[in-house]
Amino acid sequence: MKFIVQLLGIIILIPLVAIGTLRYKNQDADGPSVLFPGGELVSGPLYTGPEPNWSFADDIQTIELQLTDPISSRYVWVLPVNGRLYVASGYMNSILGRIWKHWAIQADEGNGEAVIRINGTRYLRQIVRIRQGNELDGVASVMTNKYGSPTNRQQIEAGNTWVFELTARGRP
Amino acid sequence: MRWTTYIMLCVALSAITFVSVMYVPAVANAIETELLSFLSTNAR
Repeated sequence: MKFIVQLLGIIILIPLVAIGTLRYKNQDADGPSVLFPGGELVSGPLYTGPEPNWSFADDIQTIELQLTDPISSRYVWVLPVNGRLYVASGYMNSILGRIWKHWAIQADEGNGEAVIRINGTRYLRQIVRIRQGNELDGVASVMTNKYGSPTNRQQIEAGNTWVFELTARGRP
Repeated sequence: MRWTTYIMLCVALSAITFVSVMYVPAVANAIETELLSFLSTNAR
């Protein structure tokens, strides 16, 4: 019995140490891994041209999103709608969502500055939460059709899903 | 196994795991790939 308990302890301990080490290792990396958040996005050219037509992101599944307060990055779904760019975070009315999707809370409460990286190019952005408005119909439609994650404007306005627009810095 | 010996063994295994994941890229990549595969299979 004692041997079994000790063996179980090691079987549980080693994976936990491995996962914890992976998370620690990745926290200052140039961008996120698939599973763990990363650090500052530092590589890749910084886009300085006119505001892009974001329709090229229609076929892109995820982008790297980095907040500046605090500095951390992760992969998020990307929702181009009518030439504007949005990201979303679901499950926000659940305890699991509030723990798992911590980045959305940081984005809502932070300084509003973000950096995204798409196809290796970085874009300086302002991240602004959209709580209501007609544009949410388009965002919900893209989220449903592109990602198979059914949602609607009412769910977004109720706070179940948080939607953020990524605008150019300095643009209202 | 005596508990003091067991604790020392746990500390040693943890240290080996930590060093392997931190400094051997193949180990880190393999663990992350396995984790992703597990989550993809079992998560809804």
